Amino acid sequence: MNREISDELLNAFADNELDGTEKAELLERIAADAGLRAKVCETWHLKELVRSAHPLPGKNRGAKRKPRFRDRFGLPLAACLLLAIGGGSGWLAHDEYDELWIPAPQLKTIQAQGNRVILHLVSGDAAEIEKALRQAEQLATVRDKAGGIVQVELVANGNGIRMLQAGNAQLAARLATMRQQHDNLRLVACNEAMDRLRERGVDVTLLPNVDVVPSAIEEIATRLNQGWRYLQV
Amino acid sequence: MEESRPRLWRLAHSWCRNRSLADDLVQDALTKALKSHSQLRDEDSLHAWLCGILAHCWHDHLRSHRDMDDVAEIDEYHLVAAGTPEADCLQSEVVRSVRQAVAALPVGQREVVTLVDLEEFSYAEVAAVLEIPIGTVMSRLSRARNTLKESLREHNACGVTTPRIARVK
Repeated sequence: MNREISDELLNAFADNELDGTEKAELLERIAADAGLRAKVCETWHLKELVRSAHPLPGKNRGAKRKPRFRDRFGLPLAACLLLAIGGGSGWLAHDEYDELWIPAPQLKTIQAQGNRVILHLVSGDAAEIEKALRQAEQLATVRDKAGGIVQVELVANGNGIRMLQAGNAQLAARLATMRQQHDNLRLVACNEAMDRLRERGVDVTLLPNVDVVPSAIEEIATRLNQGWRYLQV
Repeated sequence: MEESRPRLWRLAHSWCRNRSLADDLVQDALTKALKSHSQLRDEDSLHAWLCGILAHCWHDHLRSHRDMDDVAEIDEYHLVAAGTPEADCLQSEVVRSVRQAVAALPVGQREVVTLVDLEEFSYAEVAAVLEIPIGTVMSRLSRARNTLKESLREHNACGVTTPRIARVK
């Protein structure tokens, strides 16, 4: 693929619109070109800015809802259910969890077609971090079609680095527990993104057991070449 | 359908920047949806279907309040944002800047960028919601993001480091 990479194509990549082959080819081009990497990164960050500037209205404006499953029973019970169900063929009848977990059909494909997944977080938004953590745990818990564990790499760049920064005790404890429970889960931070945050005067100190790679996009490209599946949070 | 109300309201508000108008648009859309629910073929696409009805209501509103016969014109049509000063003061500078930048986009571009980034619709879904070709979705999105990147450069931590061409007026 030697053609000029248009803004439309870069947008399609950033929006996860491309299929496997096209995405892999474009990733290689992007990984080798600092200018393209910066453009993609800028687009991811812009998406996050737009999203975080338009939060959902509060409960007083939205319709009255029954208490969420999570509100009533909390995350620990959900986590136990998750562990108990593990690699079963049917997934949880999640109800309102559906937006946070990986959809059942996609999970089945992952289980059927591979056992290595790279999960990519760009946003520093609390809800997106929550989604990333749940999906990483979900993937680290399931079994592939042969009953083997799934290798999971959760890679963060852009403001997603916030998830891996020291300073948030609750998040640190949760990530430490996840790492203890799942040897198959690797946490990865993008050095380019950390440098950009430092340029803005942000103190970037990572949690222990977080690996740093030179560039998240290079890491994703490498993993795709190695046959990993790519999921964007 | 009620589950979609907060998301529809956020979308309507990002388009019109007016709380009471957003209330009216969402109510209008849900009322129409209830009347024509039998036309919905796939329950999984309920939210996209509702967004399509909301877009119709929004376009009807634009037509009835402006001299604009052709909805295709909305790509180049700018609507002045009508936020309240009190509310704006409470918002952080970044949030305010982003909302202003989105509100300053031509309506057609604003619709596409919010459907992609807020509702996380695929390009095909956006094309179906707005009843426009996918190519138009992509070109509007590209123009919208280029404008937003320029407007919000100071807030963008991942800013492109290549030299910029000075704008000459």
